[in-house]
Formats: sequence, C-alpha cells, structure tokens
Amino acid sequence: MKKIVSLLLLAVLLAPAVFAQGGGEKAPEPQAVPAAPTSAGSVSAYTTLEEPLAAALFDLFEKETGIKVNFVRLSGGEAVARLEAESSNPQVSIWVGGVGLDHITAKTKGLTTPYVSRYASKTPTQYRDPENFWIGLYVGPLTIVTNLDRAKELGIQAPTSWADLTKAEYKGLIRVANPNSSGTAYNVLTTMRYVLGGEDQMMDYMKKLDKNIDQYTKSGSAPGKSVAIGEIPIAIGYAHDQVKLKDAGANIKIAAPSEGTGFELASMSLVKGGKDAVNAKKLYDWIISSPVAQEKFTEWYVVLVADGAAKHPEALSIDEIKTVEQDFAWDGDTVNKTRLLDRWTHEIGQYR
Amino acid sequence: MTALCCIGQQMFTKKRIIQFCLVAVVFIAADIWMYRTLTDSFVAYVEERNYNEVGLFVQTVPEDESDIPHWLEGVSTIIPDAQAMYFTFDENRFTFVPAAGGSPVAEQLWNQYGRTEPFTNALESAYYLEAMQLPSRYPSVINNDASDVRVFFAPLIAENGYEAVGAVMILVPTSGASGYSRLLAIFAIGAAIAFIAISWVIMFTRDPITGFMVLGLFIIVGVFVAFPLFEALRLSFFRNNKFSMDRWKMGLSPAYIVALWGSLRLGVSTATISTILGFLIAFLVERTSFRQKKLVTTLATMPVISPPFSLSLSIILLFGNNGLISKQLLNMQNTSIYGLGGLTLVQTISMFPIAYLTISGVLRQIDSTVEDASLDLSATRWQTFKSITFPLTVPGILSAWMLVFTNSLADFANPLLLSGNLRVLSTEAYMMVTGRMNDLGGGAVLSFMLLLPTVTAFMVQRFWVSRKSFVTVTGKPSTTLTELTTTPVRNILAGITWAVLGFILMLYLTIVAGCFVRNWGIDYTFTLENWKAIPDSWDSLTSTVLLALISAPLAGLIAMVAAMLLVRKKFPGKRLLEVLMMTPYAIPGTLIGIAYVIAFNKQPLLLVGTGAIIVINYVIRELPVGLENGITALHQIDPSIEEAAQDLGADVPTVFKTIVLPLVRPAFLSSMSYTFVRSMTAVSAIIFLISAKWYHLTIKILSYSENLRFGLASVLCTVLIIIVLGVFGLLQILVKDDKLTQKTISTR
Repeated sequence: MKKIVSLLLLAVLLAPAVFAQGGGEKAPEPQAVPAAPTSAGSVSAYTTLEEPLAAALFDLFEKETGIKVNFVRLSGGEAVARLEAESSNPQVSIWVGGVGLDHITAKTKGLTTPYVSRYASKTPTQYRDPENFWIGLYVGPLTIVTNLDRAKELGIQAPTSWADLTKAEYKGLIRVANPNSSGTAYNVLTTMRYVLGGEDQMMDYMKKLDKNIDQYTKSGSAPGKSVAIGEIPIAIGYAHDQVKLKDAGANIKIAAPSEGTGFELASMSLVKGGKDAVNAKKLYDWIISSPVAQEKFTEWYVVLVADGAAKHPEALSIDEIKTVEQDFAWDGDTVNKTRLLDRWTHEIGQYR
Repeated sequence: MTALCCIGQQMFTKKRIIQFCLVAVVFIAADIWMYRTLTDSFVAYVEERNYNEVGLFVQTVPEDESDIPHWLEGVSTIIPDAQAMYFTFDENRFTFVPAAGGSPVAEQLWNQYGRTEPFTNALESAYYLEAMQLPSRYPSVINNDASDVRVFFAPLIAENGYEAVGAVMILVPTSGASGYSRLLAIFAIGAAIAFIAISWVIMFTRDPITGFMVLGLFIIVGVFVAFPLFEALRLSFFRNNKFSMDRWKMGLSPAYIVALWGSLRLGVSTATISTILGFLIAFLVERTSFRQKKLVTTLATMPVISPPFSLSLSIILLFGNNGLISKQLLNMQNTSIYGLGGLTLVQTISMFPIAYLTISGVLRQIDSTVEDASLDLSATRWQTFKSITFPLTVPGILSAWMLVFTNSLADFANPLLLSGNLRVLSTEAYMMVTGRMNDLGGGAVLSFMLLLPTVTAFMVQRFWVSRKSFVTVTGKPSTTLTELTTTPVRNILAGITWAVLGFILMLYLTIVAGCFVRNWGIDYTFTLENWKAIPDSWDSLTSTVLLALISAPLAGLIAMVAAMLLVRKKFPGKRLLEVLMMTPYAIPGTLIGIAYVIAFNKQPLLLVGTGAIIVINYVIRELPVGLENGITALHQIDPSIEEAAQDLGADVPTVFKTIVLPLVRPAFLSSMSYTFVRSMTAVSAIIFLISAKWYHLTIKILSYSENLRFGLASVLCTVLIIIVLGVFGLLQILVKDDKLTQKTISTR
C-alpha cells in the first residue's frame, strides 16, 4: 500500500517535469523574424498602477479586444531596474503608470522607444514628452493627510502647510516614504526645492522634518494607508490615494499645503525592443482614448489629463489648489537625482 | 598512496599521452580555423552592408545647405551610432574644407588624422566622384564608450553631374560585429575545453562514467555558482565599463556601515535568544520525562516551513500601532513593534526551531551513564549539569548559534515589513537595485558585504565546531535516562515551552482570521470577499507550484548523485567540489538573485525572465541540504553491498539506480520535500527573478502586505501554508522516519 502511494506520489511529482512546456525550456527562442500579426494574442506589461486598478483595467481591455495582458506590478524604481537588467532581451512591451520622472530616467537610459499615437493630440503638450518617448496619464498633487480620530486623541491640529509639518508638536507622528525607494518621497524633495528656492534650503527643511518622522516606509502609498487604519496620525502622499481611502470610510482630512505643492504626472511608455509592439500600441491607444478606460481610472479618483476626460466629483484636481512650477527634465536627470538622493542618504538617512 | 600512483602510471602511458595530444591539437586547429572564417566573413558582410547604406544615405542630401547639419544627424537612425561630418568644396583653394555642424566625434577624429595619407587620398577620390572606405580602423569614443570606427568618404555631386560640391565623412562603429565575434569566441573556447575535458576523461580514467558525472557536476556548479558570483564581483569593480572603486567606497561609507552594523546587531540578538530558547525546549524534550515530544516537534517545525513573512504579517496585525492586541485590548501607546525589538521577536520565533533541532540532536546522543556516575559520586544535579551535560552540549550550542546567525543575516522578508528605522544590509541591497539608484553593482557590493559574516560563520561552524564533537561513545548506550531536573524545574521549562508554542499557534490563527476580516484595523466585519484573491492569483499560484514541482525531483536527484560520488569515489578536486556545492547555503538570497540577474542577462546564457532561471536558482540553493542528507544516509550504508553489485558487473548508473537510491529513499524523499517547501516559500532571491509569466506567489503576498491589503495577503498566505503543509505531511507519512525532521536547516 505504502509502495503504491509513494509510486503515485513520485509520478505526480515528476509528471510536470515531463509535461511542462512554455517557459520551462532552458534555451530562449531567438527572435529572428517578428511573429506574424494575429487578430488576438497577448502583450506583456509592467505596471506601477495599483494592482487592483491594473487588473480591472486590463480585464476591460481584454473584453473589448480579446488581447490578454500579462502584467507584473512593480514600483517605479523596480520597473526601471528590471527594464535595464532585461535590456538585451526585453520581457515586456509596455510600461503603464509610474511617476513621470521614472519614465524620464528610462528614456535617458535608452530603455524606451518613441511612439506618436493617433490619439496623442488629445493630451495637452505640457503633459507629453516633446520627443514622444512617454505620455502623461494623470496628475496627482502631493497632500498632507491626517487621521482626525487619532488627532483628537493626541490633542493636535491637522497640519495644512509645509511649515506646519516641522512644528514640535508633531514629533514622531508623521510618516513618509524613503526617497531612495519611492517616487512619491522623491517628489517631496523636488517640491520643497521649488517651494523654498534652493537645494540647501530644501535639505535644511528635510532635516527639520526628519525630527518629526516616525519611520520612512519603502512604498509611497503605505504612509497614507497607515493613516487610514489609524497606525499613524499624519502622512504625506498623493491626493488620489487618500481620497480613495476617505471614500471607503476612513475619517481623514486631506489638505493641500498652502505654500503650493508639487504633483506627479503618471505616465506610460513603450519598451524598446518589446516583442508585441503592435498589441502594445493597441493598449497604449486604448488607455489614452477609450472612455471605458477613463471611467475605470476615475473610479480610483485620479485626475486624467486627456481632453474631455471625466473627473470624479470627489477627486482633487490641480486646478483647484496652488501648485509649484516643476521642471520635470531637471528633476528626472540622473545626475541631479543621484546628487539629491546621496545628500539625503548621507545627511539624514544614515542617522536613522 | 603508492597503489594510486601505480594505477595512475598505468593510465598515463606514453602512447596514450601522445594520442591525447594529437587529438587535442587537431581539434584546436580546426576550432580556430572555423572561428576565424566565421568571424571574418561576418565582419566582411557587415562592412559591405554599411558601405551600401552609406552610399544610399549620401543620395538623400538636402538641397538647402543650412539643412545639412540636421540631415547629418539623421545618419545615426540608419546606421546606429554612426557619426557624420560635412566638407564643402572650396573652388578657390581647390580643396575640401570642413564645415560646421558635423558631429563633435567626427570633428575630433578629423583633427587628429585629417592630415594623414589615407584621408587625403579619400578626399582626392571624392574630388573624382568616387566613394571610398579607408583601409584601417581608427579608435574613437562614442557614447562614452571607446570603440573602433571605420571611416567612409562619399562625394556630394552637383546637379550638373560632374562636379563635387562637397564630401561627407561618415564614421561607423564596429562594435556590432565585435559583439557577435565575442559570442563566437565564447563558443569556440567552450567547445575546445569541453572536447579536451571529455577526451581526457575517456582516455585517462578507469571509470569514464564516473568521470563524466564528476565533470557534469563541476560544470553545473561552475556555471551556476562560481560564474554568477564572479560576474557580480566584477561588476562591483566597474562603473561605465571603467575600473573604479566608487561602488566599494560607497558601500564602505558610514551610511552603509550603519546598515552592516544593524544586520550584525540583529543577527547577534536573534541568535542568542533563539539558542537559549532552543536549548531550554530541547533539554525539556530530550533529557526529561516530558511526554508530548511529537507534538512539540511538530509545532516547532511549523515556522520553518511556512512563508518567511507570515509571522511578520500577523505580528503587525496583532501588535502594530493599530493592532488588535496592542490597541484594542491593551491600549498600549508609544510602543512600536517596528525596529530591533519587533524584528528580533519575529526572527527568533521563525528561527529557534533550527536551534532546537540542532541542539536536540546533540542532546539525544549524550549517554546517561556519565551523568549517573557523577550522581553516584554525590554531585548535586546542578553540579552534574554544569560540569558534564552542559560542556558536552557546547558544540551543539555553538553550531546552533552560527546557523541562526547566518539565517538572520540573510533574512530579507521580515526586515522588509518590520525594520522601521533599523537599517539592515539585506533590504538596503534590494533598495539599491530597485530604488531610485537602479544600481546593480551597488547592490552587489552591499550583498558581498553581507557575505563576509555569513560565510565566516558558516565555515567556522562547518569546519571547526562540528568537528569538535565531544559526544560520548561508550559502545553500549544505556537505555535509561537520568532525570537531572526536579519536577518544579521541569514544570517551569514546560510552561515556557507551551507559552512559546501557544504564541506561535496564535500567530498562525491570526493569519487565518485575517482572511475573514474586511479591513483589519478599521473594519472588523466578517466577510468572504477576500477569498476572491485566489481566482485572481490563480496564474501565479499554478506557476509557483509548477516551478516548485519541477525543481524538487531535479534537486533531489542531483544531490543524491553528488552524494554518492563524494562518499564513494575518489577523484581530484573532491574537496573543491564539496565546498562549491555547499557554498550556496551560506550565500544570502539577495546576492544570488542579483548575481543571477547580472550574469544571465546577456548571451550566450540569456536566462533572465524565463522559468528556467528560477528552477536553476531553486535547485542550486537546495543542493547543500540534499547533499548533506545524502552524505549522512550513505555513511550509514555499508559499501560492501555496492561492491558486490559492481563485482557482478553493474556499472555506476546501475548501482545507483538499483542499490543506492532505494537505500537512501528516506533521505531522497526528505530532500525533495524540502526543496518543494523552500521553493514555494522563497522570497529573497526570487524577487529579482520574477517576470510577467512567472510571478511567484510570495512576491504577490509581499506586495499586498506592503500596501496593507491584509485580507488578500492573509488569504494567499493561508493557501500557501495549506499546500506546503499538505505536501510535507504527505511525505512524512510515507517515510515515517524520525530523522526526517532532524535535517531542518533552512535559509531564506
């Protein structure tokens, strides 16, 4: 009996090794001739959008066109790292979402390829790369979010400006991400440079802010979620992440800093050398033009930049608040980024 | 020794050596000739194509002279990285004059070589309306890379058809061809080495089949262990293709030494507490009249086989700033589970089983007779313990400490969730690669810094501590156990044990509870909607299980073959092979992941993004455990059975199949189940190797946890635990061997 069971088990364990196909081979197929176009098919993508949003969006795309989207959700920095590691054999054809600065980094590293979509004209020029390597999808301003219940318990007022955040009463009560791993937090650095006028002033501010920081998280949207569940009273994050949580019932207040705030331009790029270029372009076009896609986006409270796109009534648009003038090219330049991050790590990060 | 020499001499006859040299020379000559021909013909093909393209390009010259600089830039879209420069024909001076608007690289080359004869000849040809390619290559710098270029000159013919209004000089880099010839060179050298090795084995060994198996194993560890590490090390010393100590300077700067220190602090505190805890529980179970040994062992093994951060998850759910226990029940303010305290707690709970199993193995072997003798000589129980039992256990305790220390340093998943303000090298290396810096080399440096303490601890444990076994071997072990503890002491120990195990159980139940809660921390309503995570992640689930199922038998088989060769056969390089096969155990997962990405993202081994690289990674990481199992099992089998089979004419594979494999079946099955379990729960190496098609379930769980979607994370975690427990339990039943649980050494 035992022998039979063990034989069966061995057979079960070894069977997949015999039947495994599709990706289990050791030698990659050389892509000598591009595959003949088929009516349906699939496309591989990296996405930095929230996983449920991406899943829903790509499902809608598949329903409409029959093209299956195989995606992996990676944070912005991870996606750039992956694309670079795979640059001699790209595994995906398109990268959807992610802070615009990361797309600029990818462009300078030669990882993306330009594409002028037939629908690109619907997006205003300031939200598109002049050389057509990337295109903006939506904007989101940086905001300060406070959990009102915890604030009441601790007897503090909700902060409403950048200067507020450095007040002594908030010591250990603020959470934000680590700029080395999060685009959101890096955006905070660049915003403060514009608000205060210079790099040194920005570093001074970040040092003062550091005294009030509880911990630096890895992911940019985690601090906001921590505020929603009451783990920490105050966080800095993008408006759309916070509005979603507020609508879900969290008792939080979302404030745009009074001195003016920066914003992200979530973007999309085609990957250079991607294998499903045609399907990737179909997805690209669909995302920036289809009303179905736009409706799905608005459910997540993001503010799309395409002309005529609907906006969720609760969403916070940059037209309604004070923003600073951001030079994306400067912010995304590798030399500047490395310098700012090195300074932050050496003057603040390492003392944690 | 002399016998071996004689045998060797019999193999190394003059005739054979001459034969071998002849064959080798013939093959190498043919190899070189093939390589030369292929490279040359390819280079010639590429250059001819470039020549044609340059000709076509020149015909597209714009009418308007002011458009020419823009048109010159366009040459790089036709021929990648080509540089161009324009000359106008000055009729007064009857010569070509360089015009502005060309590429700076081209201008620099012209300034350097323009006066030399080939160039003046080329200009002369242009005057006579002939295009020309210069015979030799010139060095240049394109895109910050030094590269050789071929120079073409082409005339711009006026409308009247017989005058040259200008000339264009185009530089075409030859790097494309050199990439191909590098690939060819690798294959040619590889073929030569392979041929020589194979013919050596055939001609000079008594038992060619063993020789081939040894060769095969060396190739496997060489390509998949030594090569990636070497590539990672090499990358850490280069920046932009130039040798630079930049990355090492950064790694050794205070910013990251802090992280190293953090890792070490964490390692020491985890190892110490785990060892103490493990010792107490092991002592209770092995040296007292405690009854529920099986139950304790089972419960204690659970943290080892579950996903590494499942415990972190439940700790956050229970003791986080808004956790169920810390907030709702106890209303604790201002205590934070993040940081050194919380991490040590979680790591201790995950890793004390390692200490427990190591120490209990040692304690089990201590013969009570010595203790009896001591008690007879009227020593008190405490004195007996202090001077007899404890010293005998010391090697086991040291071993346990080292093993837990190594594991803690390499741990990646728990610090990712719980480190708070404590910085540890494993997560820093990960963030260096995937964060804003995108620096693979930097990540490699940080991982190598982590390698030093882990390898040291591993080597010390393996080659020094484990050799100093003080265990008594008295020939006839006594079956009675002297109880050294009084009942109150035993009850205290039992109390501690049950408290710890109860805590573990509670943590697991929290995960299960988390599946049914809508929004942990805000909304505790019961809901089943989290279970939609299963159909959503179905692809991920199946691919994870598939890859684990493929690697389990592979790892088991290779480990057993290697064990047989290492135990039963003699061959040169045996020590080296053993060390190479065991090293992956000491290497932190992040280093292996980064090294694999660096080494296998270019030809000829382009494996990044495939399922193959993940399977190879699993197999290499599990080989040490399987090997250890196999070696132990084989030591217990008398070689005479195999010798009998060989006398009857069986060759090595037949002996392996019919004698060795059935006898080591428990060890084989145990290493298979181990590989499966650890492949299902791998995180630190996998996080660099996943791709859209092969999206490992643990990474999904991690991503959900980071984004505080605890319901979904809990569901997937539970499913994972159920699958792993199921397979592990099934194999336990099949083998029914106590020693199965003994070899539970694991690294994440």
